[in-house]
Amino acid sequence: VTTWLVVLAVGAGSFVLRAVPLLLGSRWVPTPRAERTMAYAGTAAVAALTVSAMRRGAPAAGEILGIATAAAVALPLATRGASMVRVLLTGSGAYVAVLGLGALMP
Amino acid sequence: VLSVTARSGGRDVRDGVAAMAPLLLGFAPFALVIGSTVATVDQPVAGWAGSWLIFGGSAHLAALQGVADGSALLAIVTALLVNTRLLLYSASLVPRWRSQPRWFRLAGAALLVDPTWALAEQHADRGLPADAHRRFYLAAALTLGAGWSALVAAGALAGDRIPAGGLSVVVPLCLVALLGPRLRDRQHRWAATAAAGTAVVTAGWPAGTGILAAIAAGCVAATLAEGSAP
Repeated sequence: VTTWLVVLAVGAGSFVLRAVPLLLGSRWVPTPRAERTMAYAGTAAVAALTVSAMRRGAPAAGEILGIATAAAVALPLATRGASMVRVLLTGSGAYVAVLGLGALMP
Repeated sequence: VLSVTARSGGRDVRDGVAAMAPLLLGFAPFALVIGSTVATVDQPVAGWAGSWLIFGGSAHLAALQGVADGSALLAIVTALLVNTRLLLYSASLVPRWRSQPRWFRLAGAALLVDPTWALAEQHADRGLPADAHRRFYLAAALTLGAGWSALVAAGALAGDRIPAGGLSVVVPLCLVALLGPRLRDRQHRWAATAAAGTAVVTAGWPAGTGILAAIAAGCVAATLAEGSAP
């Protein structure tokens, strides 16, 4: 029930976000401040989710080091506009390298 | 006249499909990751239905993560905040779609997301007739929708066969790929830094309320950075 509820609510809410300006036409004009705040909220949400996903994915201390390294290596690439495939491959390579080094250590 | 119209209509559809195909390929790994996350929720069919109903990878992933965190409210609020940019996309198409019929503005809105918006903006600037733009947009958007939902389904079916260790790094990396382009702007860097720091500090808060606190902190930091901009 929870998953259906979430998917339907997010789907309906997203449709409203998509449709309201197009249906209201020129009557819907957000203030510049509201536009900027919406954009900041989106960035902040993705950043917070990234941290949450890193914590959930790395229960072991060695793994958090690997994931943090992967993110640190991938972030500059992503910022420069590299494709998602390239970001994934580069970050995953760093992750495997760190885990490999950890396994070699006594 | 009929054959000319039919041929040109077919060309619009082909142009739409051809324009979307490379973008769809680029999003394939992300769709597979979302699919593998879908496989972990208690109702995978509902999770997969989000590929059409939510029709946005980052919001879909945010919703699934919120469900995994055990808070439906958090999942809904976070996913909708991620999708607030759609308001801006929709607003930017208002002047371009003013002459389009109401049914198309409704159907087009349902399929509006980053790649379809980018193609719609680009195509609308060519000054082609309204019906040609409709055919192009619907072909591109339906190509994305069909391909995306099929890839999410493939990821869900393969979910058990994808090693958990691999997923633990792939999901954060997908989010990093989405976050990176936003960080070119100084205020957005402040928003991301404050939100990430707050998310670390508030990780132990109940039912994911830390994420909401992190989003609020990011908005405040970016707004303060505006005031101190050189």
